[in-house]
Amino acid sequence: MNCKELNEISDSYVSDELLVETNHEVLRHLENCADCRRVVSGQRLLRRLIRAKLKSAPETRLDPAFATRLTAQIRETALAPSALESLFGVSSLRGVRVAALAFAAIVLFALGGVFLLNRPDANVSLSANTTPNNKTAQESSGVGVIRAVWNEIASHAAGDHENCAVKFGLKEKPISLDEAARKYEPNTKDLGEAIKAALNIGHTKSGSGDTEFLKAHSCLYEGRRFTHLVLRHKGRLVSLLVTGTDLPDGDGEIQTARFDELGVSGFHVSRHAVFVVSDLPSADNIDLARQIAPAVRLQAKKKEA
Amino acid sequence: MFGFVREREKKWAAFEAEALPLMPDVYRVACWLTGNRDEAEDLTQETFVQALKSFHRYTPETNCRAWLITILTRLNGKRRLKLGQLKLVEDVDEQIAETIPFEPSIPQHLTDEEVVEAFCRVPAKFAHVVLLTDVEEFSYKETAALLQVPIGTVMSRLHRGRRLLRKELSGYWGRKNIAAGG
Repeated sequence: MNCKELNEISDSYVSDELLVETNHEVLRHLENCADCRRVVSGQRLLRRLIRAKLKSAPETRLDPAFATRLTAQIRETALAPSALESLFGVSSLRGVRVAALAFAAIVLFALGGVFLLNRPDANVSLSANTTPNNKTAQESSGVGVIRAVWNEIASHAAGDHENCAVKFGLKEKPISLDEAARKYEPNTKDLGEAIKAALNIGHTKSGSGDTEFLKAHSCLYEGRRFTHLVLRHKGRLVSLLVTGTDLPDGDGEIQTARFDELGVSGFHVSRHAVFVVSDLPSADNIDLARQIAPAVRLQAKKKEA
Repeated sequence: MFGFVREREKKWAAFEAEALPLMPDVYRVACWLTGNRDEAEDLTQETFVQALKSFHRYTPETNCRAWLITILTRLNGKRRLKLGQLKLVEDVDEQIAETIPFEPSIPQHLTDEEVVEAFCRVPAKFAHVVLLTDVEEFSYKETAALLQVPIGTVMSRLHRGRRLLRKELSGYWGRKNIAAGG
């Protein structure tokens, strides 16, 4: 393979669309050609950049209020009786057959004056008792969407832990909680202090292992600002992250998600989404989330008030 | 007995489990296709209403995301046709390709806004292919099916879309350099 041939298929190479044999030829060529390596590396960079930025652009985030409205509307449509059912007032195929027979009987009676069939209406009124409880079903219908939005924010929390606490690779330098309180959220510093106090960091043991406070700051990851506390817990780096959210007020129930080797446990309450991220077992993350939950809830309520 | 009510509940449960969690993805693609949040919400709504109607055609636990995005792109095509935004001018591809004589390098430090702006300046037919393949990670074959065009067209539009994007992004590099006196 020469440079011209590679240039013709480099897009497909970057998109992983080549056959294995062709892929090997490309790799062989790249081993010996610095110019082509530069071109391909530039194409890969462009692809990564576009994916990262466009997937997380704040202007394309689903508004939870819209999601809840749309879910309710679709649910209503999905569970509404069909025109056929409404016409015959029945809720089963057998009911339709019965109603159709009754209809035919009436027609026959009208035409010939001879009523031959009795209208068997035993199944006609089934629908009255089989309509699901609206409130319960509606509540459950929004859960999938809320969970999807929560998962998306949780993936950003995991990304922030990876890029800020572990690799120090954030594009924008983190700022102090004081500065964040002045510029963005007045309660940022209090929130950080409340979390530290809840974990009694630096003074006693938390859970079954030592917890050491490392740093606290406010950082930006994929367009989302986090109040970020970094700890060492049981010898592993742990991030406690709090960010604003428009998710409907949760009941504080702790949810978990996994992104590769990172576990995320968290909850959302009063427009705050809270996450514990680490590569520790989920039980440890959940334990930390439980410990800080009352303090975060209190701070969030204070802010609302 | 085969009850309609039970059947509806079963269908709804399946739809709720498979389709609804994909609402953020559908909305994101709708945003990029329309370039407008209100229109994206309308399109997302139409997509899910249509998906519910056609849910009997979907094979459970296959690629629900691709199925929803197919509905979305078809509805968007109709919408654009209605608005007169779909113009079939085939030689535009060539004209645009001719205007990009080289592959400029991409600056390292771009803000989110700059990347989004650059993407929005790429003509829709190329941007949509870049969106579906590079951002949403659909294969060439899937993208061809979504847009109802041959795979060869996907490949050529992707090539041109990436080059246009690269050109737009390199513009920021130039402007930044000038501003910095470089």
